[in-house]
Amino acid sequence: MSTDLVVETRGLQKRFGTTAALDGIDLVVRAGEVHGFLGPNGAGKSTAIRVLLGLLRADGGTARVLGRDPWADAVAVHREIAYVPGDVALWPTLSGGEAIDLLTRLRGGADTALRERLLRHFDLDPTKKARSYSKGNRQKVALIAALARPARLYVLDEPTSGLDPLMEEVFRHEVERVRADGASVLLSSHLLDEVEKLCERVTILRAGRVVESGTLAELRHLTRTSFRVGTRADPAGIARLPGVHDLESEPGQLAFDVDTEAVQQVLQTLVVAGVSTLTVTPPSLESLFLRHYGSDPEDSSARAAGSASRSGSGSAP
Amino acid sequence: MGTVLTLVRMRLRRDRVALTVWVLGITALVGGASSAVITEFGDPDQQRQLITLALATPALLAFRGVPNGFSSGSIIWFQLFTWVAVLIGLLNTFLATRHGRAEEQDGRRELLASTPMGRMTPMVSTLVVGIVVDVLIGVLSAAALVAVGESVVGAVAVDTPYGVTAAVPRDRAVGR
Repeated sequence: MSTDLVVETRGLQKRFGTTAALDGIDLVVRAGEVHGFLGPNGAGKSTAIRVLLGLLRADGGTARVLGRDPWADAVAVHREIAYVPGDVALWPTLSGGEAIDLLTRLRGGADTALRERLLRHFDLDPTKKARSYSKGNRQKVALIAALARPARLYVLDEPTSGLDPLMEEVFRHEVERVRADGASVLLSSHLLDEVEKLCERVTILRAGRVVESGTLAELRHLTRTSFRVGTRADPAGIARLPGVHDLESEPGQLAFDVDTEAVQQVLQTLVVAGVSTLTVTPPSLESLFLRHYGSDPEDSSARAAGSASRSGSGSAP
Repeated sequence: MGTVLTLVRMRLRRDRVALTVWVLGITALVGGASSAVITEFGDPDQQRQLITLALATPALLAFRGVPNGFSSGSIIWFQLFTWVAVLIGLLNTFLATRHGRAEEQDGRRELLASTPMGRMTPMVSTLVVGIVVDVLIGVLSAAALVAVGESVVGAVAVDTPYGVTAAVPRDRAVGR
């Protein structure tokens, strides 16, 4: 029983009928880290989280959460876990405050001062009935309930979906706080930039398999920036620069992706050539996946097999 | 045990309006219908006529059971029991579904299931709520029967089967 690893799975498998939702997942979350759990919709993030919470029983492989088996020892594991589901549903006739009180009471009682502060910072009116809450407000209820009592592991499944940018900032601040208190966080997301801001290490899932796992620095090759520029610069000249990829040119318009370390040089070249319009966007996870692993999950898992997980079964996805 | 109580309180609070309407509605129906039966079939001749007629109609017996004698209590039972039992059955089925399958379907169960509680705790607390509600209906309807002039023993004898009948659909629905 290693105290250093908060979550440890080996070859985790779960199938629903003939679909392999999890096809041999290796996931390691160390004590005191914020671990990003990335993947496009339907990659198996929520399924993996449900297995880690003991809500689903794995079909194969092993899972240890806080040193215990999450299925056999669910109650003991839950004592030290705070969970925010991806899609929060509340009880329509109970108010938000009642839902928060219920959930924290079941976990042993909220820290009252903390609860009050969270309500204030998340700007939630706890007296309203849950049926009148928007998706973002329901999300806030679950977040406040999870954060209002200290836990050793916070499992957050796409926690910022439905939150506005201001609230995302509050959320990030709270994650920093619980990490500073020594807790670990497993943060699932399909937004790369959210994970970049919060996480030290990342596991990327696709079609039930781990395709990348490591520190953000190790995954730097994934984080290219997309440029769309109105310029008279010579397309061939730009394309020759190191770190420029996938250049497409129309008259007066260039679109290309740039490796992070090459941004400086590309900008200098552009400035010299003259720029009329400029759009710079971080790449979406989807486009990253399409580019990096191909659109065919079978192909991507074959390519990823060398660096990432190994699954025993040779079955079709 | 603590978590069961917490959940029972949450369920009662969540259903505070709906359950009050059900319980008071059924009580009013039992009281109102019983007093109507007594008014309509007040004298022993009418009661005898009604029972004789019923005994000659197998379809009626199939739905309502065989009447037990000629007292006003047995007439009330014969006229009312099936309907009230169906109502209580529906109440319990809805209750068990609302706090069971519907919770899972809507994802609310996940919020509860991630807290330190046994896997059976939500089901047990739903059963407790159902039993509390059924006992309450039994007590209140018995009181209603006593109020319209039936004997206490007769009222309890009528209402105990309500609770028992109710348990069947509830337990089915809870246990899925």
